Amino acid sequence: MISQNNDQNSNTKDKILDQIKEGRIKMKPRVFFVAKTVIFILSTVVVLLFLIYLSSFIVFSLRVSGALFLPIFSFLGIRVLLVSLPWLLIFLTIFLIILLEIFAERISFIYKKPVIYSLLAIIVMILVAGFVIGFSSLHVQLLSNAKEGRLQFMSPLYSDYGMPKFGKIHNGYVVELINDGLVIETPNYEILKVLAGDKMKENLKEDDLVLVVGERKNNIVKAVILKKINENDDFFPLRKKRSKNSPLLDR
Amino acid sequence: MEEQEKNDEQIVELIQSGRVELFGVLINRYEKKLLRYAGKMLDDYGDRQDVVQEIFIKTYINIQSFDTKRKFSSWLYRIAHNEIVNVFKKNKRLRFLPIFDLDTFFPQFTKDKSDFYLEAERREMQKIIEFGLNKLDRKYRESIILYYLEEFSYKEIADILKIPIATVGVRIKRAKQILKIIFEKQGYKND
Repeated sequence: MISQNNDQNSNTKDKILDQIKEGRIKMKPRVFFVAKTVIFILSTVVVLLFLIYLSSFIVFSLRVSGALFLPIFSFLGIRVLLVSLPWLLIFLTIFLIILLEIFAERISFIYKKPVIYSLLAIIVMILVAGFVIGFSSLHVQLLSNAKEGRLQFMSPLYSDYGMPKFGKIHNGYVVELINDGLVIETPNYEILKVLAGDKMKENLKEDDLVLVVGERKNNIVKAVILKKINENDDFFPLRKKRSKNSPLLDR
Repeated sequence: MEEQEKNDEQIVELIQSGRVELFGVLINRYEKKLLRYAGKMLDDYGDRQDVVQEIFIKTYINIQSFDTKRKFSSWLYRIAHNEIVNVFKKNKRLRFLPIFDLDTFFPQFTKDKSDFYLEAERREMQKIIEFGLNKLDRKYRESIILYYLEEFSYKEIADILKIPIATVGVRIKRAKQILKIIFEKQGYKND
């Protein structure tokens, strides 16, 4: 039995050494592994930066559409918010977070700790960065550039998820108060007629910024919720930009 | 002869610098251990010979990626672990490999034991582990083999399996509990 084991051992050793000598097995050069590590680091950084951009864009799109104001209204507001959320972007963000976690699990000090720690760290980092950048002027500027055709490859993203198409949520400045409602001008320069009762539009005047929730048919919106947005509200970026003569809103 | 006295990491350094014939020294040192490890993990004897050969081939191919400041045996067993997982996948014994295992997901808590107690327990476990090993789930089986038979530390096992250190402790503890039940069913009493 012992001799059989020894035979097997020398057999395996000889086989492998012969293959090495004959050049049938070759070790990969060090540069291959260096390149692999560089690619891994770059991929991780790219995924991380894209995640931060994506999360900040989601925050920005919720902010600019006025959707962030909705939960304070009612159950209906929350329902509209849920329906209006950019789910495709949210699922893409979740997918990228899982991908980033898989990348992170290759690092020794990360895989030695429970997954939940690194996952939570990634989520908190993405949320904080997303809110900080989402509330900065970066996306307002990008949106402005996209509208002026200076960001060709990003334009569809901003037109699809930016201000104009956000489910049942609309916002704009009151242009005129009329008998059966009001007329607003959206930040996208569209003129919308908003059907609203007297009680809904009381306290509103021309040039007020309003948030409207309701089904849109052509250029008419039947308001279910109508709310004036406070000029000093930090959640809403466009009013402030307008007051500073932003190219975004001043034609 | 001089090379026989060098440690694994020094041998690898020489191989990396071109003395490829020294790879035979590593094969001499680890073949029996890897055959035992693969044998405990796989049921088929034919498999384990091929698997061990494949492990050494992959070790040689990737040897330039080994950092000689780290422990060679942990790195080698990491390759062995991956190769055994590949065998399971090929034989469809492992149809689904979860990205995250639940016991690696949340924090786990295990108690540290004194070295004396560990050594005594290790000797006892080495004797009794043979009987119920094939009844253990793969992930418990692997942790208990690496700890009691291959004599790696929790930290080294964590590096081989790429799982949290506390999870290693929990898997070993659960494996022992399962083995205890098996032994009790067979009428074995552990004093």
